[in-house]
Amino acid sequence: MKNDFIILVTEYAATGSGYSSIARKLIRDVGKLYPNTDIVVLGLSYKNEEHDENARIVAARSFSDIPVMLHNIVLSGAAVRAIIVALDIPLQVKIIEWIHENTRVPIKDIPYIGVFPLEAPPLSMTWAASIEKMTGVFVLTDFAVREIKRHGIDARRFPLSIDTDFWRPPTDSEKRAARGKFMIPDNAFMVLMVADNQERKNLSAAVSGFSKFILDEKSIQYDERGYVIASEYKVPDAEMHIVTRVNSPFGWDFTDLLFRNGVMPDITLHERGLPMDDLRDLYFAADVLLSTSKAEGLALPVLEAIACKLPVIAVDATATKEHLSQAGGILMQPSYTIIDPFGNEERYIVTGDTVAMALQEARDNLQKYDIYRDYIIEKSDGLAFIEALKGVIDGKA
Amino acid sequence: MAKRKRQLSAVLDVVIPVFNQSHHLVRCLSAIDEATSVKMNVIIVDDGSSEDIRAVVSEKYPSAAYIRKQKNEGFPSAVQTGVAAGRAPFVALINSDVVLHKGALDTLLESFNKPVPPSAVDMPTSVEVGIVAPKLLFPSMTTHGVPGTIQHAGLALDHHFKPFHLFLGWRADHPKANERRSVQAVSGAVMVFRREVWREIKKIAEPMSVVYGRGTFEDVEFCLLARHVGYRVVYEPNAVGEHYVGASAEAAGGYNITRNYEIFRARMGEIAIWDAWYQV
Repeated sequence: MKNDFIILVTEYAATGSGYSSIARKLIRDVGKLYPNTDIVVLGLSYKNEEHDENARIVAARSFSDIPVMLHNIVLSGAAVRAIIVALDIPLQVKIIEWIHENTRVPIKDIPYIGVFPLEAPPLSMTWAASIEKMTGVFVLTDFAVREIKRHGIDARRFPLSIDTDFWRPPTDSEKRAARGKFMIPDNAFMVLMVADNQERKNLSAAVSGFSKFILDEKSIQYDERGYVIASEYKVPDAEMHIVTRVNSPFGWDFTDLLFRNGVMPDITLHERGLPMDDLRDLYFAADVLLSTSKAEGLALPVLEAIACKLPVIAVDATATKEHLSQAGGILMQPSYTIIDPFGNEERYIVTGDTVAMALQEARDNLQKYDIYRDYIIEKSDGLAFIEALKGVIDGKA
Repeated sequence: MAKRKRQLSAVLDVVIPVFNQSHHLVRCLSAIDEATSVKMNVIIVDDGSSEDIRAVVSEKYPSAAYIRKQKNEGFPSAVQTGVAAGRAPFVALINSDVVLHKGALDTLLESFNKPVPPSAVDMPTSVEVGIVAPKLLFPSMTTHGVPGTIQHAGLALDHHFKPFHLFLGWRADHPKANERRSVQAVSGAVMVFRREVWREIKKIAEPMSVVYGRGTFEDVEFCLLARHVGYRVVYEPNAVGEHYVGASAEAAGGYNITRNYEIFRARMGEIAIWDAWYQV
């Protein structure tokens, strides 16, 4: 047992996810900076699986456990050097407001470092007021840094942490093997989506766009419900694979969506939580990654695709705009913008027609899109981050 | 085999509560002699089994003391009976569904005299090691966990004071699961304790209390009380066994975990601590 502690509060799952990769990077970097300090991770979604991290990982069954755990750790008299919270802004706000209201134990004297994405501008003033109370602020994109600084709050970029040894371009034989694994013909145009089944991902536009891309509009016959009951193919050799949460209580009914758009035979759904090798093989097998998200704070699948040199089609806004404008890809113009109830942030909506045009462009001119993979490496440079983190923890920020 | 005389100078009383599941007992007994080289008494407490446990004991371990309870009263009561029947300075409590590896009991006994790294769970009054428990693995024939992985490596309490197994399901040689350490509690599946711990606890409470009925939580309470009276509870990873977990519960017709948890919280809430965050 070492003498003092740094507590990290985050989502921690054994399989890859955005926050899990952030958590692993933080554990590594904090461990190097402070080798004599114990790192304790309060892990939401953690189910006591085996791990080899240089940290203690405690399962937090639900978010409401977090304040209790923090309170008890500080109450025990443990010397806590810093609390690092890597969670979405609304959860950060809850924690930091609780800390400032909790007068029983001196938690608010402990440096609080927030690591979080901003999905889209603007940053609401209510959120900004809470973020201002943090000792250190690290966000996942350059646009998020700019947006937070507009509120007079100093923010820095959290470096990317993509494992570029794992996420890499496939060899020809690997691509063929990956296609064979998923029974994708060699000459098929394969579109991959890796997106949770939730409203922000705009999956209905993706399915509608794919339908418009592959079906001959003039041949489509609809029934009285508006469902496609017969059609001919304009693009007979295309297929789509979607890695998602197939049965989400808050998401689309895929059976209805695919059937309605006449693409039931052409889209394969993969339940999320695939073994990492299988997930990567889908990237290896794909010709293009499609993202129709209305906003993205990081867009991890897009980064993984860039690392694999897989061309990406995404919305020209937020994180996807930031990544593809530097790494290359096809950016889709949103048809309109709305203000979302989530933090009053903007959301950028693409329609099925736009998606269809982008898919056509990708299929016709794929060879034009050379991806600048070094973008990932450049944005992974963590020296400035480590210095900034140390400055915050040691009180020299 | 000639019947051995009961060892009056025994160092160790091995108490094995049994309720049916004689096939497990056979395996357990077959491994006992290899588990230690010290003088010991084996005391089998038949907790009202419907199977002929006496016949099994006569055949497999005729030198064992066999105590038959007419009625099934549950694990805690059987343990109390077995401990009371012995006199040795150390007591090994072993579930009948456990098979210890060679030398395991010797390693546990040696552990009492080895230094233990200081731990945040140590009570200010902690002096001697009072209870030691081994690493237990899932055996090859089990549906409760991946065979060969960890079933027991010490217990910790979460912030609701619910005990849970540290490193459950992890690989047997994982470094984190092979640190000798002070813990708040260990499983009653296998534990070795100084008889004086039992005596000291008895001055303030009922050790292995029958208030827990058929069982669960009585072993955790026993450990917390041992710490409360000044002893340390230690996990010893160099002693190994296999636990056919679930057999005991199945034989007992299930445990009332919810009820026993409420009893445990009410009784131990003042002395239990949330230690998960520095044990994992």
